[in-house]
Amino acid sequence: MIKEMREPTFLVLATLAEGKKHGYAIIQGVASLSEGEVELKAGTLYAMLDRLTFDGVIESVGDEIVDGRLRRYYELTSEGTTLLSEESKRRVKVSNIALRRLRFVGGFA
Amino acid sequence: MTQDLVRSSKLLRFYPKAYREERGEEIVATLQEAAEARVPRVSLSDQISVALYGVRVRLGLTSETMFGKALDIAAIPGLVMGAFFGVYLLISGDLPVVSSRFFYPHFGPFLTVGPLLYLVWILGVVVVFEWPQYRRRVAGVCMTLTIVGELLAKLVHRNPNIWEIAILVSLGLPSLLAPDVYVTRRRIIPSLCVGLVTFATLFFVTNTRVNPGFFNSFYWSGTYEIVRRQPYVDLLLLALFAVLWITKRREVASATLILSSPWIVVGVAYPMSLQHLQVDTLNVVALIAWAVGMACIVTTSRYRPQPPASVELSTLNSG
Repeated sequence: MIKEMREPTFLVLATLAEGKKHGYAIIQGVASLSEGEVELKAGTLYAMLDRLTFDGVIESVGDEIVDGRLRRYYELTSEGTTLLSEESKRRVKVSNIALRRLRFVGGFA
Repeated sequence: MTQDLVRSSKLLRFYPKAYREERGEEIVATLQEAAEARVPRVSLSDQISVALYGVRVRLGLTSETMFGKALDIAAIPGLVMGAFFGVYLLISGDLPVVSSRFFYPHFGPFLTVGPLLYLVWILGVVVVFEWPQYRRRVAGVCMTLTIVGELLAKLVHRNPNIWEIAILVSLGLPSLLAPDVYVTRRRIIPSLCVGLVTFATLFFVTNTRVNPGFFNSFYWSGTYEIVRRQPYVDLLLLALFAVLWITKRREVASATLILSSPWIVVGVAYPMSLQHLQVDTLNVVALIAWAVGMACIVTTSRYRPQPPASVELSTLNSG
């Protein structure tokens, strides 16, 4: 099970929170969520998908042929949903504290 | 089939057959879609990343396998072991001025690159303790500089010890090969303990009755002691591996075996390379046991096909 979550993993899970997606749609989703900051390479994506599937955070939910190409879809498991929810709350909590502190010192309007 | 598709399909050769059959078509499709969206052909970085991951899957070096997990555990302790070995070599091989017409100092007391190499390993350990996520890069730098330094040393000194260098370089391998995981645990205390135990063991193995209290370089004046004492160290390491394995701490057991590798292998290879030394039977027994253990780890880490997905192809196609 994931103990600490790094940014690309968080972005992949956040992308899948929208619903089931295939490989390239996940790459697009991550790029979009990160405003182009994180660009997943195909090899990195599949290493991550294998790891998350092994950890029971996501699962493969079926295949589809589109324009003669195979698309395999992935979605969050219930464990993955809980994990993403907890991580999101943690990040919001930390961000809120940081923003409050910045306001206090006048560093944030 | 376009040339681009052919190129993408060729990348799948890096993957084991079972993985290729299960995921190959999907990976190629993703590469193709990514290529169409960005540039008219699959980018080089995408090709490299797919190929590298294929090699990792083939060798069982992913974060899900026991081999991968064991390498992750062994990574930083391996570097620390290397740093302590460096300190030991500095004290025993480089610092003492030895004037003998029979023996040459391996690098000489500060004459060549030895002390600088050990310093690189020590600084490397300091860096990974602070930034463990850079362990692979640090290991790469330490190993490369050691090999380059060794080549330079050969130019200026006629008797650098290849076995000591081989051990030092191998201790960086776990960090180099460990899977890409989010490394946050520095494991400073356990790693330092591994280093100190290594240091004490080296003293036990090489300290001779002829020269009590005088450190002998690992494979130099202590040569005869190595043949006499190292088998006990090897057997102790294997016993530790067996106990950890039986008590179900198999990842730690595997990490122990990985870190034992250079000592056990060189323990047999070095005496074999010298005519005046005989290989100890116990050392050979240890080597065989080590090889069996490593084979177990590698075999259990081979890629196995996943069970089929819960929703079939037709379900999504019809939806």
